[in-house]
Amino acid sequence: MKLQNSGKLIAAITGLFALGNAFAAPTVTRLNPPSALFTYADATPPYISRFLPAQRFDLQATIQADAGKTITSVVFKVNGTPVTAAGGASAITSIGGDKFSATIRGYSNSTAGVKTLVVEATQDDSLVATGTGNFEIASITLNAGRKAKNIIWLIGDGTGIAHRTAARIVSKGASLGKSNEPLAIDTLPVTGIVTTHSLNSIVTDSAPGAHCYSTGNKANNGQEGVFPDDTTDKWDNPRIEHMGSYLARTQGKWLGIVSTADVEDATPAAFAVSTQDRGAGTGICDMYLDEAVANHNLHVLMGGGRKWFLPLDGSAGAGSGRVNSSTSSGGDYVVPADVQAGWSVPAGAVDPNRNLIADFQTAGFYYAPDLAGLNAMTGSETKLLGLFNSGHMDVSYDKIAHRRNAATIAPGSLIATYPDQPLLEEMTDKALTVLSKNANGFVMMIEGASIDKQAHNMDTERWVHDAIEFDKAVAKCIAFQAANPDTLIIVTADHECAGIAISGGSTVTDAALQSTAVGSLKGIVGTYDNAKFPAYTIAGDGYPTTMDVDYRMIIGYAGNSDRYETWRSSPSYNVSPQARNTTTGYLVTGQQPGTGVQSAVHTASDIPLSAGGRGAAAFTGVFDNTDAFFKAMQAAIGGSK
Amino acid sequence: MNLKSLSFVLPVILLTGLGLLMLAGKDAATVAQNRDSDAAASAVASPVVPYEDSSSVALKFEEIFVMPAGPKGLEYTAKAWALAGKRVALTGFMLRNDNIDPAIFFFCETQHAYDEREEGLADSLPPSLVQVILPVKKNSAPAWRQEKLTLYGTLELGPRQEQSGRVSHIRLQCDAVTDAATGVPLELRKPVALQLGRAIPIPSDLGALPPSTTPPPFFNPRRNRNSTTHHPDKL
Repeated sequence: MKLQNSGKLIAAITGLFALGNAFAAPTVTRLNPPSALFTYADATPPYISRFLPAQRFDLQATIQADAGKTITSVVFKVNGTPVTAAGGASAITSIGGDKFSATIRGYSNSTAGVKTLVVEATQDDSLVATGTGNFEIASITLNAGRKAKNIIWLIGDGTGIAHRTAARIVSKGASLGKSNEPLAIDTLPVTGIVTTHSLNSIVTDSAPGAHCYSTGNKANNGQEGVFPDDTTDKWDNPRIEHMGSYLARTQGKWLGIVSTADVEDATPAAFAVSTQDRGAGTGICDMYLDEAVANHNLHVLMGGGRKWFLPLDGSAGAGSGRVNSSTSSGGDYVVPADVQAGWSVPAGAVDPNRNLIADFQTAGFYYAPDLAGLNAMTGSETKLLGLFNSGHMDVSYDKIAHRRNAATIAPGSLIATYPDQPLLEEMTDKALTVLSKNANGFVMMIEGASIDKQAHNMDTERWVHDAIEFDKAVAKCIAFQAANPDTLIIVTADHECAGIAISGGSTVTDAALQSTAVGSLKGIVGTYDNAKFPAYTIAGDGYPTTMDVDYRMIIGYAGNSDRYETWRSSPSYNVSPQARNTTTGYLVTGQQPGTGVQSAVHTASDIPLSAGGRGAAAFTGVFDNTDAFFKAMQAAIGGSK
Repeated sequence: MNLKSLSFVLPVILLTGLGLLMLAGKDAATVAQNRDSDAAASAVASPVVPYEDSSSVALKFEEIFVMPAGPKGLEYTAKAWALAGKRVALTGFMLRNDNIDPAIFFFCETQHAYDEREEGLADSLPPSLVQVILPVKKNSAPAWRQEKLTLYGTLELGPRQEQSGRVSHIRLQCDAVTDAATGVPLELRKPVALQLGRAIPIPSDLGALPPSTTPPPFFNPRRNRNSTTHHPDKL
């Protein structure tokens, strides 16, 4: 090869390298808070992420570096001004695959308006990646009237319009074209319609479905208190400050969380916990004490889920420990240093032998393991922990049946193991007693969890019964509001569950229904004129004497899986719809596939919201679920006429 | 091979393949639906002789923990604790779920509903849930059956972390599965590939949306219009 040619070759190779370098560039693949400006290059409203003035949230970006390169510095700019992190509250972390996650923790902004967020990430060869997004700081009208001192969110999990209607027909009755009486919910003066989509789906699950009310923002399904990121760590996601923390910090309010679910479940946890995994287990419950008690003024926590609070080392029959709990090594939480610094939270620990009940008691909590424990309260308690079941609490249908006749224990229920579980209205009563001791007020979430769970299971009688139980909890809150007018009550759901429809009524008596051959069961469904008005009777305890009345209400499910329908109460609890009544019912085929989805599912249908008390007037029209948060915060911060 | 012989061989191959597919389909459908005929088929394949194990002690689910539970948690009964490490017989139902461990299935007193996608580990499953461990059979896993079963094996008590993320407290090292009604031995382990009802485990959500497959120009769902600048893999 002549020198001249070899020189050309070297030049060509050099040129190729130069060309390669010219095309290689780090890129920003994610920018939090989420925005349409970043994802779709769309700067117009609606703005995806909104915050209260001074509400804290994390800034986060994922940067794809060139192969073998490192991101050495990252600058976040809000409206062109670089954001300075508090000491230790920022990090650039390699997350594998030449990707880097950059964070600034605990950012806040007190000036209302839409802000442009730019991230500039510099690679070790000086190449720079940029990304642009936006977020909005909501405007709060100050001195707009009296403030809502107390805010009560009542979430009927999965409760759409038809769930309410069914509860009204059964508990209040209807005749000659009118309901005989309204539900307690119906007496709230303001009604709105809420849209429920999550950040990554038109159909939300319960985590983002509750997260929206606690933070004012959207989340991915399965995630609560955080925005999505690109790491496998459950605890390092960009956080958004919860309402409980914000109101504790700015107004000294207390927080209460009451649910008939396992308290580790999505809806209760979405009001105090920050994780990308709604099933994170023990760590979620540890976080209630370590973070929520300390920073959110959590004073009441009640529900099921005792298994997460017990130590693992149940040796030699002295106690089984965390029965069916999460992993002993992977379920606990440990948060990275920048989260600790930015949010003033402890690191957490992998401590499977932690006795969390004892730690709550050490922190001043009165512990009630059952209704008797609740009733033994002296009235002076200011902190209350109630754990009434190992998992979800049993439903009111079975709790009431057991109270009426102690020998009545439905197969599949845990009544025999936990026979003295309180009803939601009893839990509500005690929670209000404790929380109302705070002169600065409180915010409380009360969840009727199994309206959803039994709608999933297409166990009509049990979800209707729990919707009635939920209404009784609402009645307790309305009575409290009457005595404490600066209280805002919001009754809504997180999503609709199962596509419930009241399609008619039985054309036969219950006796006739019981003797109807399986092949003729379909024929008893009366529609239009044949549906009539079923007559349920209410016992002295306030619940239906029986759900199996003559000419009963008929429920259809649009978001369903296969089930065998008898049109009567199931003697068993929590038995799979595909295994229940296989010989006594007829097969109604559903639409949901797979063994992972053996039941009815959530739908994207809008949900009703009813409100009463201070600030309730704002909850009219059709609005997004995150809007409900800002309407409530206007009432709490700026007041309302 | 000439055309004539091909015309003979090809249909034979196709028919054989079709027959195999039908057999596989039948097996899969049987596993998925768990009809009584499956038990009958198993019974035909095995000698119709009820399983006998005089060394096992019958243990009921309600005999495992002291009831009601105390304020601090559950306690094993004296009977259960005395049977730890010994042979027992348990009668109940398989739980239908997407167990990721091919050697283990859940066993409980009733035909319990369990929707993993919705419930995760916050569930209504009874504390007396038993994790049953079967000897591993290559490429096979326990296939759900609807009927009541009686299991025989060695009882283990005490906490142990499982692949599924649970901490089990009651386990059965199972060596015999029978139909509870007839006592006829059953083979639960079926090839995973043929278990149509066995859903693919849902991967944990790492927070990232999968990259969009939508080709540019990218459709902006917010504005019902096409956008030339887009970030299909961004959120």
